[in-house]
Amino acid sequence: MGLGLERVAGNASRRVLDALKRLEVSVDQRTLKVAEETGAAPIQVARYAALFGSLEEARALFSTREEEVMKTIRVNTLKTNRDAVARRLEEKGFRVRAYPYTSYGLVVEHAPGSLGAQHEYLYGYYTLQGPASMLVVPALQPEDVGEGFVLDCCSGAGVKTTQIAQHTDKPIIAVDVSWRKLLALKNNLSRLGVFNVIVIHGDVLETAPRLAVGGRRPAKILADVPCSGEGLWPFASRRRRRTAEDIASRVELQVKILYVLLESLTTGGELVYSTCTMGPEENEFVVSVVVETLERRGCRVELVEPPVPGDPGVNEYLGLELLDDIKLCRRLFPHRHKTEGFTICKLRLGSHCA
Amino acid sequence: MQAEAGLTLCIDGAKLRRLIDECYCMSGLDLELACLQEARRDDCIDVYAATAETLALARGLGLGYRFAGVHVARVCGKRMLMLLGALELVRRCGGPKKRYVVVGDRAERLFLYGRDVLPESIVSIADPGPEKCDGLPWLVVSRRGDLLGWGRLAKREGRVIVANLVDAGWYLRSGL
Repeated sequence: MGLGLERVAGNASRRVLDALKRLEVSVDQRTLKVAEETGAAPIQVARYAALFGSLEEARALFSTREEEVMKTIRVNTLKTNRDAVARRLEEKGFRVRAYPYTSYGLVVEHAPGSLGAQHEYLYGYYTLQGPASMLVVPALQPEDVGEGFVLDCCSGAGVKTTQIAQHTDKPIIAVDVSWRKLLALKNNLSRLGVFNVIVIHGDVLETAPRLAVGGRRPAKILADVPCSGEGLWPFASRRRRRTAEDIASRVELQVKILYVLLESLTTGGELVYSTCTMGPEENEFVVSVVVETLERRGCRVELVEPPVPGDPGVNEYLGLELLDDIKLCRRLFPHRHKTEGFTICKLRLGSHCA
Repeated sequence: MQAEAGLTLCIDGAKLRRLIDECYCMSGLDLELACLQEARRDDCIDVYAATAETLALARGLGLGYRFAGVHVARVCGKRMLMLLGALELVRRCGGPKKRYVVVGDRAERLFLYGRDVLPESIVSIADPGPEKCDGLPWLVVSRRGDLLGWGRLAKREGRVIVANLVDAGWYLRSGL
């Protein structure tokens, strides 16, 4: 990776940090009060108050609790169907209904027992997945991969990797830096019966360019990148107070990941960039920086509207320069949509850089 | 960080496939077997099943990968240990046709906790398959046809039991 990308990523991180430091100076007593009430850091409340244009809505976001978020499972269509799983769970006293945004999701309205301990889970008939997380793979539309393959850049334990396999039987390459998470992925491949995944233990910043050099460019890429996780705020065990430095440091890594991934795509290929956070710093800004950088080098990258619900992306925030088309991204908020917080952007590579 | 060696064609791949097919089922499945032998204290070989296209891509990648597909068995010397992943091979073939035991509801729950199946909980025992299958494990199946894991038929106090070798409850107990 060249010094150019290090410089671009570093600059992006510094711009975010500068913007957040300016915002921090303006934090007032009302913001501090909301922070104290909700447990969020003052800068987090201020950022979302700026995003919404309303301190009250920031309070509503950080006051949302787990019980208010839909609990969902993803039926494994490689082994069974939604109706069959619904019937089996209902026999045990669960109350479920179809999740309207995918053909294989179930919303669990009442659970007399732990979903992760049911026999049906052990048999691989379903897996646990949040409602917003479940929209990322449909946004990518892996079923359109043609004769190519899919790259899942930061697969973790493979919840989305195995979901991709429900859309296509073409090969999927899953990459992650954590060997422990890849062991969990191995178990999930076994439990869910997924036979078309190649597992690479490594850093996608090195792996993706090596794939491209070897002439193996993915036709579809899922970039569900490491992030601050603010969208998981409703879940007490996942709740984290984040500083301006926390956010800025993640931006630097996200810019690098998105840049190398877009460069490694096949011409005409598509990439979905997603995070479990709603901050524009880690979403619209990262995408804007990378797209502008690639276009200055002569690449053609366009934003595409993903076929999933959600609010539009924001193209004005804290004075950061954001693309107009960034409003094609989709955003989900716990307090508005009853899902975990997520942002999903879809891009298509029109041509490689000159 | 990345192991250099990936999966290779199993030395006795065709023989292995025939054995799995004759004792359980694998015919008609568009899957290939590939083997991985990592340096370790034992001499076991790990067997994975993946689509032909996936294995072809893996071999042509030009960079190391850890594994591909589903871990279905381990071969240690002359012994073949069937793993939970192999249950899916049987399911995709249309379900077990031989070498399986159907157990009752209470036994299903207990088996998934790692327990053995007692004689009074065995509903039926299927055809054991050809003689070459002797020594290989039996599929343990619920009344509803769910594949619970692998067991070994044994005698305890003159009666047949199913000793638990590996069950789907392991996915929960493994901590991963």
